[in-house]
Amino acid sequence: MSERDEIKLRQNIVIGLIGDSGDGIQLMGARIAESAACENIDVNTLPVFPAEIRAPAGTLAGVSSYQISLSDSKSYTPGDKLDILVAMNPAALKKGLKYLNDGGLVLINSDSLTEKEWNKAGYKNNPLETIQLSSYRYLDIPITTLTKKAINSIDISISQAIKCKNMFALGLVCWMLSLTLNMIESWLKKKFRKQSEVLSANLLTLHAGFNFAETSELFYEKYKIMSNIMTSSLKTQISGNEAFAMGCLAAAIKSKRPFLLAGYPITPASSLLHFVSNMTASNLHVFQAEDEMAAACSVIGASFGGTLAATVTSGPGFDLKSEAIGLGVMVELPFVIINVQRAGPSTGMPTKPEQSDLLAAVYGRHGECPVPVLAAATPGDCFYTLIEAFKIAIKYMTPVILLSDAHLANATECWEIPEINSVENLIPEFAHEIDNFMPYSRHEKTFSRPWAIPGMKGFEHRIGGLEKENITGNVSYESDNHQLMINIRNKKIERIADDINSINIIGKSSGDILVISWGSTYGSIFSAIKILHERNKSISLVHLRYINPLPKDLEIIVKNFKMIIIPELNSGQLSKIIRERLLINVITYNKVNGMQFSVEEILQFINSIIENTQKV
Amino acid sequence: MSENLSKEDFKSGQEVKWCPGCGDYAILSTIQKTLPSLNIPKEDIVFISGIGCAGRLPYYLNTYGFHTIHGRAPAFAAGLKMTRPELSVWIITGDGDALSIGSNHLLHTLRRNIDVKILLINNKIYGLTKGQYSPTSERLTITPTSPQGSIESPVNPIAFALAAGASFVARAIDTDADGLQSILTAAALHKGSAFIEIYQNCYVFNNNAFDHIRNKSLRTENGICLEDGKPLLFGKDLDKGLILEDLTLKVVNVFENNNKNKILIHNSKNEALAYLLSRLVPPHYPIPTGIFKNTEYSNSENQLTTNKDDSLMNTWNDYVMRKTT
Repeated sequence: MSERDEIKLRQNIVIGLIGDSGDGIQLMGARIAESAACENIDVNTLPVFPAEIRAPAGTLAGVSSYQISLSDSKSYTPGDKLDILVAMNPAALKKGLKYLNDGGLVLINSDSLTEKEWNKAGYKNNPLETIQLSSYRYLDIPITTLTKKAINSIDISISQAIKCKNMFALGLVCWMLSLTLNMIESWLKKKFRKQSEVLSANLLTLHAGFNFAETSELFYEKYKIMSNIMTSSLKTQISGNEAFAMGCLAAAIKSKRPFLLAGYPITPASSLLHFVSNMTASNLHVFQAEDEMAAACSVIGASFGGTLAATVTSGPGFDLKSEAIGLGVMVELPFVIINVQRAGPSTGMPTKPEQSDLLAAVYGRHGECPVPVLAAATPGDCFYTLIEAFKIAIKYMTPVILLSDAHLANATECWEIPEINSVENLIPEFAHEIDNFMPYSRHEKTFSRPWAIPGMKGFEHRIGGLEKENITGNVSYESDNHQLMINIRNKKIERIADDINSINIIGKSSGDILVISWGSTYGSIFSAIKILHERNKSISLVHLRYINPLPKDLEIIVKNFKMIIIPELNSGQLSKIIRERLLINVITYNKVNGMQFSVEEILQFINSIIENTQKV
Repeated sequence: MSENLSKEDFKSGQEVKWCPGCGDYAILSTIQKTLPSLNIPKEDIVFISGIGCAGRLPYYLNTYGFHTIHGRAPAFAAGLKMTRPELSVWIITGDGDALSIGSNHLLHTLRRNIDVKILLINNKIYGLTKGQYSPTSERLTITPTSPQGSIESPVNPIAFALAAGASFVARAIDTDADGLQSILTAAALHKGSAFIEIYQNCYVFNNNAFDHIRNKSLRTENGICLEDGKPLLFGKDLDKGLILEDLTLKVVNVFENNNKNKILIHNSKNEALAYLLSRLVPPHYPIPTGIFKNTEYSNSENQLTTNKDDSLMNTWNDYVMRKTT
């Protein structure tokens, strides 16, 4: 075995694939993720699409990327920085280089290194000259030329031949990561089963890339991740939006009711509509409404009929649903509003994550309008949080807002699909006391009102947005009654706190620093805390699933720490809520640049706090 | 089949709180009278309304009822009907509710042909908010927000519904109980969206707006009754009729120039005729009442979702299999 064939064992490796939005980058990334997951390697991915569907080729705006982190044990982020960057053109190089680790490897398509192309990317000279002066290592490979050569025996147009170049790159990467081509081959065979020429071209190119790496003396690095993860037949890669989709299906099964998901296409929420539309169950309805408001209203109409229903949106769409959520609070019907948050205000940056709708979710409606607010922490957690949201909605007869974001929507993690039998029961209890049925009578514990649905004889009743008389539900303008109903609606949501599991503190239950976080920042923050624990720092983490109401024990837990740090992808919205509800001060760590926290950023911030306190 | 229900069974017992003289009383009464004849169990009937004076109507009916958001009743109805197709779903809306703030929802409900019955109670004014001009107010209507007279052209509800592709389009008059009842009955039997414009007098803010057609003695002169298979004749002595000339409708004296043979016969399956009739306005033309269009086409709520016929568990198992192999 020659020196270059030595395989380096790694615990973790992060690879970035970057190219034009038409280069098939997402497809390449998904294949690598699949192939690695198949070998029990833990995989986290983060696809990043350009906002424009097809920005001009070769420009920075047209760049699409896919980041993959491969680990030998469970990991929680797609990685801070890249070990390997595959750049299909100069623009990709420019975008990707700043995320490459010192000493990292660049693999670039040298056919794209023309003056015209590097000018388009804003380089004045051949970018390789810059790389030669840096700490990066590079391999420039004429991927386009080699692709054309690999398939010159096949009768296929030049443009179709060039399209195969992602397969050449994929072959190269698979060799470098010691991944077999089996999964990719069977995927290609299925995808192009009706186009034999295209199939052959893709298969040939894939192998050509793999063999090129194997035989050419250029490649001197080959890695392997030796996984120590147990195999499981239910392991899969899942994104947040797909986990929501599976949650919708599971909710339909566990409720034994019809299910409706309604939405209006909006980035980054739409793919949830796509996933559920492709599920074939007759009782699982998807409604692409005429607008955001209609989507929300259709869900309330369905709920009036005893259907489990959710509406999904993002950004401006969430504003538009406010009025419907207010009606939901007044008529006390169960439904879920999924807000896949994106960078705002206004149209903002539709493909970028932010946690800036938290205050809008908790407070953003006219009138006194309490709504429970939950947030998912990881892609797979989207499934469980949705089930939880429905559980609360039907038990307390209330709309529930569920927050995700553009990061969770698209990022994938390795996830074990739950056994459907283990998923919580969601069978609703409908009204049963027909004698003297009162639509606004109250359950003594939960304060919820009875759910009576059309088709139930003897329960005919009317509800609406006008203030309700306590118990009868008749329209009432009476002042004492309004005060009473305001109190009841508030108290009902407060009571949900009785149902929240006690907080799982990561770390010791007392100490110097408590970090409180929520939502998609979990991966980076949890990873940073693990590192700090290895360094014996006195720090713990509480990651909140419930933000309204807050878990009851939070008030006691915070008292056992000297300092509270709240990192958020907004200007301090959870911090505001914690200060207001718990009457304590907190240290805020805020970032609103449309990017997820990196583990390094969290570490640096916490270390700076620790250093400052030590100085004092 | 339901037991024998009577008009009394459909009264909710809530005190009706419209202004004295309001046309809504007559409409409510006709609805309460019609519902028992439809042979639909009371518990399977749902009335959904938006905001406005008419929006209160469901409170007075002893069926399931939902007083929703301004303009958006059709969206609530869509969600309900889609997931509970066996229910009989009725929408109560007004001219502001349906054609101003909610025109988008009305348009899409009609084009999707969702099997709901839409009663647009048109009084050509905003009543509940004290008399501002509405999207159906005539030009130059003087109101608190148009003290010099409204400068906007009114929208024509029947033409709007036809343009949206509605499969059933009709017009009735609040006080014409028989006419309204026969239309409500036909609408209930229709499979798909049924759109009914009901002229309604607002006694307080727009009194006498429909006198020329509401008043029985004037109706024969100023109105024309649409009945399938019958000639389009009107006037006290049925001396006037409609003929087609230069691709437009023309009023002629039946007894002159051999006009009798040219009089059009009403056919609610003829969409072009429905559109021509929808444009007829006084003073040069009679106002049509009755069913303009009644066509059936299969585009019902079930097809809002694509062909899905699998069981939930099969779908789950297939999905899990697809995700793990």
